[in-house]
Amino acid sequence: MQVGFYFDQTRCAGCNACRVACKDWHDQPSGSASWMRINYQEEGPFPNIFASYLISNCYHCEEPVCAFVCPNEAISKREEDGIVVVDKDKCREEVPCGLISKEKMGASYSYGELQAPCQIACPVHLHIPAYTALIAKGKFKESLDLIRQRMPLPSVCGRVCLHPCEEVCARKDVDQAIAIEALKGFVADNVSEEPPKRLLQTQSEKVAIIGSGPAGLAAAYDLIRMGYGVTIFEASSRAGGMLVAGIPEYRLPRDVLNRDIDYIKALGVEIKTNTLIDLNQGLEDLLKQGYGAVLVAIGAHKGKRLGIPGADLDGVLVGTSFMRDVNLGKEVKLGNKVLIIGGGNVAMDCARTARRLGATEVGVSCLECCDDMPADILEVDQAREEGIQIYDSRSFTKILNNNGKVAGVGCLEITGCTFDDDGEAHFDVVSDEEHTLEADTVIFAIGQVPEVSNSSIIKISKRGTITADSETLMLGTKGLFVAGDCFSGIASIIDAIASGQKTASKIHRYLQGDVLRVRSSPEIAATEIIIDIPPETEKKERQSMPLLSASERVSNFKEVTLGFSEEAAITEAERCLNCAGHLCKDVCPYSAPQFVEEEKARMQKCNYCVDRFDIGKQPICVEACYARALDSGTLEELKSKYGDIQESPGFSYSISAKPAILFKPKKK
Amino acid sequence: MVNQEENINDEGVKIIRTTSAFDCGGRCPLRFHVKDGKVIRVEGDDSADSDNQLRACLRCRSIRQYIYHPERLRYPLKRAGPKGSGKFERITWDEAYDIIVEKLKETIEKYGNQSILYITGGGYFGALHGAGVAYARLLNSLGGYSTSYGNISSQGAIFGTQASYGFGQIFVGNSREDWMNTKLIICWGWDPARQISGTNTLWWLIKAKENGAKVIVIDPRYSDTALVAADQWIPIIPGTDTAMMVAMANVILRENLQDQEFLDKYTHGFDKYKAYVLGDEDGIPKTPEWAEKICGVPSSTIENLAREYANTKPAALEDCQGPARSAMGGQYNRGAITLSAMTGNIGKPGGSACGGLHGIPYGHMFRGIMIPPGRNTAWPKGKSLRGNINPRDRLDTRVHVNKIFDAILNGKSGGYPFDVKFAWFAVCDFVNQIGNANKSAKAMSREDLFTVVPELWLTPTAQYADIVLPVTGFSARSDLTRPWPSGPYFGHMNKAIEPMGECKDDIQIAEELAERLGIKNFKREELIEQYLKNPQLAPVKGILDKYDDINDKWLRLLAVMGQDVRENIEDYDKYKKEGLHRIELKEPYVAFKKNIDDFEKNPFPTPSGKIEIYSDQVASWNNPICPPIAKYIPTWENRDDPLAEKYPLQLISPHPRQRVHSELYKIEWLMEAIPHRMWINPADAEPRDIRNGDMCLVSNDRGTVAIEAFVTRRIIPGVVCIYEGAWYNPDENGIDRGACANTLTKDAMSEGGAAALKTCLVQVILEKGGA
Ligand SMILES: Cc1cc2nc3c(=O)[nH]c(=O)nc-3n(C[C@H](O)[C@H](O)[C@H](O)COP(=O)(O)OP(=O)(O)OC[C@H]3O[C@@H](n4cnc5c(N)ncnc54)[C@H](O)[C@@H]3O)c2cc1C
Ligand code: SF4
Ligand code: SF4
Ligand code: SF4
Repeated sequence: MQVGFYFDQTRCAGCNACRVACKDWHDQPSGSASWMRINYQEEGPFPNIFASYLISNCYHCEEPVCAFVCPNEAISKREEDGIVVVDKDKCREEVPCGLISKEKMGASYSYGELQAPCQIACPVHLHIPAYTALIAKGKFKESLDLIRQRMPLPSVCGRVCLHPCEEVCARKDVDQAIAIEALKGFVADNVSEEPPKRLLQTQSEKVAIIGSGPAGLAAAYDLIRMGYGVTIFEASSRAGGMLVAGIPEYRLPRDVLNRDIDYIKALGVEIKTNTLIDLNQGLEDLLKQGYGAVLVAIGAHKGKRLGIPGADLDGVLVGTSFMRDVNLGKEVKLGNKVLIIGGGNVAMDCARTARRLGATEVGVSCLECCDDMPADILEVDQAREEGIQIYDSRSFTKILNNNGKVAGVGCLEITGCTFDDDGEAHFDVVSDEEHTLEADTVIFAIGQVPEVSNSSIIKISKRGTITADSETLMLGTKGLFVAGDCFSGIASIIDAIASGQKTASKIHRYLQGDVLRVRSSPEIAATEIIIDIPPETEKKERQSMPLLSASERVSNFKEVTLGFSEEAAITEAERCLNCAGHLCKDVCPYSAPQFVEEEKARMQKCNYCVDRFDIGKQPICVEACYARALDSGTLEELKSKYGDIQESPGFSYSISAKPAILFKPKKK
Repeated sequence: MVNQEENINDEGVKIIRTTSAFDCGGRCPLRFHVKDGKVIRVEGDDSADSDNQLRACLRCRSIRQYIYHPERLRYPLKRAGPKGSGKFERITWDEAYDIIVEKLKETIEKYGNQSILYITGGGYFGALHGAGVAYARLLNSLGGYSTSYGNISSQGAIFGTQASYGFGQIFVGNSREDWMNTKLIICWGWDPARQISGTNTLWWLIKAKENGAKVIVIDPRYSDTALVAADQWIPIIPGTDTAMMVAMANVILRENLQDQEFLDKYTHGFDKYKAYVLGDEDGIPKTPEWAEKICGVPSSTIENLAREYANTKPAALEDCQGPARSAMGGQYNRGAITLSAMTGNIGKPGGSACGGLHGIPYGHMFRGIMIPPGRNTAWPKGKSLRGNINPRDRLDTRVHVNKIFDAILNGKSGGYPFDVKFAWFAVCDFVNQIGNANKSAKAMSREDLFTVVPELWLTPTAQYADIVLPVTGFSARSDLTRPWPSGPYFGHMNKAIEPMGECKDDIQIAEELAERLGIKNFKREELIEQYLKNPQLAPVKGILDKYDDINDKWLRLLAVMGQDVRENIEDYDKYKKEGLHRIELKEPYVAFKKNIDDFEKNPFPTPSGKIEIYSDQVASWNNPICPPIAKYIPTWENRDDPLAEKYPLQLISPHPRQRVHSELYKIEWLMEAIPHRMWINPADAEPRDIRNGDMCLVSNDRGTVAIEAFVTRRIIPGVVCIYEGAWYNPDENGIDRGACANTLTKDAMSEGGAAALKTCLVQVILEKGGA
């Protein structure tokens, strides 16, 4: 038997009688923690507004994910009636759930509210400890669902994310960081998913997105889930932005990328490739055509060259164009000796791609010394394995000209380099003595700017990026928004995703006639979170990622990383210290678990008023609702009384557990 | 001795059935779980038919925090610092009594009884323990006192109702279940999802809607009533309701949609109204286009509404008291009554008589019985005011309720009938709850004023008292209660706990003071003997003798004294035990049905015997701003007032949902559920750089409050809303950090006697971004 609730949104007046009655019956102290919560939603511009309340307490899930992840096994489902109950004596008892130091954090400590460092460092604040905990318990599908709740590109980010989360992982103080990125890739690769159902368009407006890079895709994913119609216009023949045009296949196989893109498309996002939008009149035309808002997410594709003699010679290439041509299958002419100028990931990609295209001598030269190179250390290591030379700590004076062909690059040795506010570099030169690095092909990989020029609509900043109001993220023209690299300057996939999401929320506010300017609560930095690691914590080496050997990979574009085995993934996931605790809260699709602000706070949540249930009474919230918006009973009873289950809107996290709340939505 | 049958379970939990006694409109049945003398939980009505259960709202659900709140008063206090400083010292009851007795004697001797101002309010409604009566009886025994005129809540509506339906006509409501007969419900300035217009009102509205009635809400706010029930929301500029009603009348007349037969037969002076509406009176036809400019409602909306209202039969136009609590007072209710008459909806099932009071004459609070307070001889008996509805004629000996503090401050030299030396405030928190709190505070700070406040809390009013007496709350009392405006039922409070600390019942305090003042025959024991000498009541003596407890005796006696209780309740013990008696109506009550069905035998008690669209009585006052028909007349502090340049936003201050006026203010469970915030439209917020959650300063010449912004499209631009009842709490710069709406409102009355609290201009600025 499964008991549950019925909630009639058309009757709920948000009066809070249920909430207060619940607090009284269960003796919950004052404070925002409440087992019964009433969420308020307001849509539409004045005076055509639509507002509603949505109660959310515990759904007493068929397969409670909260119970899977609790390290103390404090949560269980009663066989006889399906009520999910918490044993408060067990909660946080054996295994300390949450290691954030109350003493050292002082006033900013609040159990259940503070997040783990990794989660804070992640630009989209993925529930990292929660998805790793689900992996540790073998709940791969649930883990993937949880990731998808926050972001649309798990397969991509499970491979090529810059993983700022791992930088701050507290486990580094014991041994090494958790392989957060690779674990994500593991679930993305190992869960066989049905394509998701197309979402109904519930809002009247459509949104146009220019550019199908991560920023555009992330915005599309959020907007379609909010109920808008979404069309992406993509100039290129293939969707994905830099993911397809920049990142080489050996790091991100295209079938993997397409898996993520296909998921987004299946939800109803339309992607029109080979459609270049004119960034002046074209944007206004889209507004005129009836798009409620237009998002410019065109990335930064125009590669820069240094202003040194010889930079225009035949045989001097630009990294982004080079990568795009290779990636889109165009023929590129390369010599045998290729030198890349630049020390970032793009430089590494160019070098390793050049190697795979047959160049025998490939070098990367950059301003920074090896230890300071912006490129990921693993990338540099792998490049070296592939025979690529690194020429660090150099500045560049000219490209040597041999009858109109490149002969090499003139360099000076330097000890350091700083950038001023305008992005100009200043060096400390060791001596004026120049030396030459020989090459027949030079590739600049020193940064990109958006391919766009000043117009009546678009204003370009000194840095070459598109300017917009930093708070509303809107251009000078109402309804035109911006996101991603074209606004922030070249960043990373996950930053572009976060940017797309942020702008999507502004677009939503804009379309609803809501204010765009909101005050955000002060954020605490990942590095401010202080973790008390129990001294008895045993060392457990990080699982190493199996790779193709250098010889197996240098001549082809096969994926270099091979992915974790199931065993490795679980072992790795088990290493997570669970710094912040409250895994139950993080995994619960409805944030049902609550923590009051007191030392050793135990998890609390709706227990279906078991004491009343056991003597045949209805839950107190049901009895208290004077609008009669709530009812309770077995699911069979409720279904026969009210009709079939409907899932609550706003809860799009498609966990396999079936919610035990029948829901009658209020319609616009 | 007959004992109440006690219901104690295995764990030693006793269930006490009672009701609340707040001024919320409901007196919802409650079941207190009492263990070891403490209320440990609360449950609501458990009658078998859940559809008919009288379900308590969040306020009573939080009652434990109210009963056991650390800030509840437990001991008598004496002022130990400047007035308003909040500094008090604990004293004994004897000390408190000595001080009060001495002051009372001294005041009467030196200044006479007229210098004693005694003010009561709606803080407690019960037959026996009504504090208002207890102290009135005491003061009357000493020669009387001065007091106020007018009801802070409903005087505008009362004026409108009486001008139209006749003197004393206040039961203008249909019982709620009559909505099942209607096709259209127009909630005009009425938000029963928030304010309890009788328990279950919201539930009946939902049922009516689900039964097929269309619901239209006209309100500056997209209220929660609009949210749950409205098919259409018509936002309107505050203070302009009458203009829209007049324009609707214009449409109805021009399209000849009125129920002329009804108007001819039952109403008086409609032609005068018609002349005004069509422009024959002043050359201005009151068209929808004319109204659009005033109300901010598109003319097409007004037109459609007029047609829909006139063509849908029956239709219930539901006005209320809020919009009447304004500078033009009850004109809005008069306007609604006129529309209802024009469409023939008065006295008809599924219709509505309007008038804003909603009451039905069954189990209504206004019909409650109490121990009469005796005669007030401080003032010579004036001419009879029967039949006279002019508020001005009531101000020879009294002050208007919204002017109490102006009177304390200025006395006779300010044109008031008396100088106040001794002030006694009971069951009210008027420093907080009437207009212009800063002025109230100033008046209360008068060094030569002596103030007594019996209270449960150190309210803003009590903060200024010289003596604060701790009184018991409703959980420690047994009493007879009645809701307003709709039930119908009688409630019975049963004492659940012993008084906390040294708290006493008001009636006991009055008696103990009476004893010290040498007043005879004042105590309940003595008084009941006298009552039982009355030949009509004498037969009850035999029954009462069976009971020991004097309060029990009195409640039984009061139940007999109340005609409707006597008629309805056969088994008092059952009523007491169940804490409730429901009055079963054979059919829904419809106001004035009798008059309409059989007009010849039942004329209206107006001078003309008809519904007065035009009131000759009002006309005789010759007051240009108190017209005899429902006219729109612009007022001070509306949008056209030149003051609007400085203070461009209108402030409205509706009833809060998380409090009963100022009661329950301190209850954390309620405040966290529904925080005290100012509603402001994005169109007003954005130019001021105000964002959701920002701390704002709202001010005008009367004061400044600091309050968090709730930026929402649910309020019409140009209007901000601060729910009344938050506690006045000025900081060292005079900024009211509690954000009491009345720090901003004006202490003025309308010509019809309404407290004009909803007419108010303010400016809003950002104080500090981010909460
Ligand atoms: C070689 C390379 C490797 C990288 N590797 C990594 C990595 O490993 N990890 C990481 O985190 N980041 C990496 N990055 C950075 C990352 O790819 C970018 O930060 C990210 O893709 C930016 O996303 P975006 O959506 O803002 O723009 P983009 O991904 O650049 O997408 C913009 C899209 O807009 C389209 N477009 C432009 N103009 C128009 C128009 N007028 N009409 C229609 N469509 C238009 C473009 O064709 C493009 O598809 C790499 C970048 C490069 C160049
Ligand atoms: S709703 Fe949340 S807390 Fe409740 S059973 Fe499901 S996962 Fe657990
Ligand atoms: S069922 Fe009980 S515990 Fe759950 S929300 Fe309702 S009142 Fe609270
Ligand atoms: S008691 Fe009922 S109407 Fe009120 S908030 Fe809860 S569910 Fe909604």
